[in-house]
Amino acid sequence: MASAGSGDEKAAAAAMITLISSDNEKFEVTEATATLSQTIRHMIEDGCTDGGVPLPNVTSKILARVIEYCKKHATAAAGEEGSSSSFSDAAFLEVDRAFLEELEEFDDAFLEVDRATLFDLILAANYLDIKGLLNLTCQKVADSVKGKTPEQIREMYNIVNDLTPEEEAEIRRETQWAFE
Amino acid sequence: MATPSGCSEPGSQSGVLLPGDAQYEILLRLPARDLCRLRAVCRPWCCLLSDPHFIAAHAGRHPELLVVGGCDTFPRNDGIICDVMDLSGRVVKSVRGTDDEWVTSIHLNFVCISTGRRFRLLNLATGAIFALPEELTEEHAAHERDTCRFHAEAAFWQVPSTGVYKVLRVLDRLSNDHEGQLYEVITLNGSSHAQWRGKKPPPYTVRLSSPVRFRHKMLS
Repeated sequence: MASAGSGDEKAAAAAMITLISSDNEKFEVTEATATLSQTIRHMIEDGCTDGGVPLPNVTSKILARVIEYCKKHATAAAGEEGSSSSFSDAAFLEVDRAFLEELEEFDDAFLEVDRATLFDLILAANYLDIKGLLNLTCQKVADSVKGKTPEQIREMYNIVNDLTPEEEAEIRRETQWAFE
Repeated sequence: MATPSGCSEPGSQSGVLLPGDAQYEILLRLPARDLCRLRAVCRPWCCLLSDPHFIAAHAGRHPELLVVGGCDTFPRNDGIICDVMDLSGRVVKSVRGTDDEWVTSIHLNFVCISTGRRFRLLNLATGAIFALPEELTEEHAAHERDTCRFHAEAAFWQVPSTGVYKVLRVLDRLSNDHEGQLYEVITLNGSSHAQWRGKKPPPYTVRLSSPVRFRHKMLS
């Protein structure tokens, strides 16, 4: 069962893609890792990845982190596919659960970055269209915004309040239930 | 809706550290209540958070219902006791009650409706209805006999520290020689054996007739 098509899998695993950061650093990754990005997946499908994929919006520092995330999660995706087709015994499910826990720990550790890096990761995830990474990073920021007052948000993100006092009072009147 | 004139692109002003594209994605992941509050942050946020496209995208992501409104203390002619609206004010659900039911309190996704001293909690998100027990607590049971009429009101809330839900009911009792109030609290912990517990009444008369907010410490 499991042996059928394993030759093809090896061929797919061997396919490498070169990603080029804005500061011209080259990163070699497997196709499985690269295609976590829908943007790159479409480029591969259109056959325009020969000679490398230039990513002018992503610095090498951020790209290295993004690749780290994709590598880890590509392994997870491969594991999921395997579990549905070839494995179904309890021992494998046990391993699967342990791996999911490990993945969660990886994600938690991955988010231990300063705010500027976190925003750069969000922008990269958005540009590369990596749903899991976008969700992870945006949720992290959203959680830190939750429950805050407008004043706290302005301070956190250095936002200038350009509403007139009358406008602000009107908005607060209309949304008073959200302040209680 | 107060939408200040001269909306510019969100995040386009100088001094914003939060990049525009990221901002949109982050705000999409916040609950509606936070978003309503954050309209008061600045003009671009107010514009974004009032924008029908943003509201539609947010609604697609957060299927839970948002605002309960249009309810009265007595049912309308058509049997609808309250309307549930989304952030844009569109009525997404109308709740029907029996003839003499009315809305006594609203909290999060729950609406507490009552007839007499019978209360039902309606979960707007799931549609599940939970009927609270009608019997008085043991210590109040004696009043059952010397009371001609009970009038009951209830308030429903969540204890922030533990997340459990509680309901306070205040029973006005009218007997031949006495008028007074009984206070009972029930904790909803997911079991079907939830019981009312008697509480010492405060030295004044309490009315819960309009949707009430109160300090949980007072009653828990």
